[in-house]
Amino acid sequence: MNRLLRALPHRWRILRCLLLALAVPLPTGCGALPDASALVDSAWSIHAAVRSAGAAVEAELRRYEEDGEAARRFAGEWAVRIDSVKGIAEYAGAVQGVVEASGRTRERIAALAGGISGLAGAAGIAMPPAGIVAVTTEAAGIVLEQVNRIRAAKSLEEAMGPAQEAVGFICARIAADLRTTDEIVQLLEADARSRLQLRWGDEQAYRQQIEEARRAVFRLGAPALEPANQARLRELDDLLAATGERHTLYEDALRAVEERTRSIREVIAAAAGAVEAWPSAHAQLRAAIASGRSLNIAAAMSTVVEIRDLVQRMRDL
Amino acid sequence: MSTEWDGIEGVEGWRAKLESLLGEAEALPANANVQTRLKMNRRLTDFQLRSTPNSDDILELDAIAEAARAAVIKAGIDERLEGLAEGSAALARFTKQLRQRAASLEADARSLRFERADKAVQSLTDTIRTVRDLIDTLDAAAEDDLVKKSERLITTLQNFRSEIERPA
Repeated sequence: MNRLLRALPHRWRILRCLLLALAVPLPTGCGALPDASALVDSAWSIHAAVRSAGAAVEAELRRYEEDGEAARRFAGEWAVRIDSVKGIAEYAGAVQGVVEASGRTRERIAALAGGISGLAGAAGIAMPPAGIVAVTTEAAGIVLEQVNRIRAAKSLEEAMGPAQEAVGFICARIAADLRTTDEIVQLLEADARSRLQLRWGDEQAYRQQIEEARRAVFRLGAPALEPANQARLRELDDLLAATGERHTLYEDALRAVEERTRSIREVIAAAAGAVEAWPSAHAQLRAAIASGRSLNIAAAMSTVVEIRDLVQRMRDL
Repeated sequence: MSTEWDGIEGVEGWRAKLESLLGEAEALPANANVQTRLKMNRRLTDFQLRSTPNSDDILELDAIAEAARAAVIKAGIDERLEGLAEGSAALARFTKQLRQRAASLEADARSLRFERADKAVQSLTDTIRTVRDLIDTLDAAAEDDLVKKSERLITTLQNFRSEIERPA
């Protein structure tokens, strides 16, 4: 056995010793840390939705009230929500930054070794032969990779535990505020609809009378075919056609209000769903890091694409 | 199908109906459910659409109904804006806490990336290169050049010292 070991190249003997040393169970975090990028994507998509929905609600409030007072109040309060969701996204990015930093230790050790070789070259210090440097770098990479994972897991546990309360509070509050904003949109839609109906009320009533008169002729049955009734129907049809253009304008205006408010409410609903799911995904990630098991939170955060589509549709209107 | 508008006749009939609606609107509790406000808005709108004939008296009733309708909506919006304002301070406080956690994580990530060691090595390498340049200059170049290179050397050494002295 010893002869066999001596026959191994020097670098493999060093590596073997290191791997044996590393076979001793480490306290925690030996496996790769779970990827948190889905959490980051979700937070930024919520941020985009909260910002866009806020801008759309502000625009509706400006339509509602000429002096813009309600719009200004809303914009001021909503800016706090946008900043809070941005804070969540930045925090998620920092979590992912630690995960990524722990996962690329070997590359960084190799880069650092390159830098040290450059330094030695500049200083005119003779470096050991390339093979020795390579094996030392590789060995250092393996050891530091484990050390870094443990350090990263500890860092994440220390940050994510206390952060859970802040995450829970912010997400619950934002979800509640999105529901409140949805109610503001419902009130604005009702107001816009009422104003349109009242502005066009007389014309719509006139048109309804024409339609009622037509139905009355048809209710006559066979006598409806008599020349006098046919002439009456033609007269009523002409009146309907004459009011058709104005009626279309009215219906288009109503439809525009409906489409705008519906798209805002869809974005708000999607954002509220995603923001409500966020603390749970954060807690799952934290538990997975603490227990050293893998986790796929991408499925839990699958609303990202839906939110992007809804935001785009709302912006297109 | 009967509606609440059936059987209302004349100005007095419509006035009585409006008084009843105004009473209900005034009795709406603060923070009334949005559906309650929407329903009251609908009824006050319908009043204006259905009240007949369009005499001055009726138009006057319509104007009162419209003012009440607008107030129902405005109160609903104001209540909700106040609700948003109430939560802002706590949100800002928790967001600040979260940013502190993020800053701490970012510092840890920098440490995990060996950024400080990288910078120290880079700084040391630059220092040595500058010293070598200076030595070369001493051999042959003009005095101006020597001054410039000395300044560069001092800067590089300062950078290196600050890199080493900076806490992790």
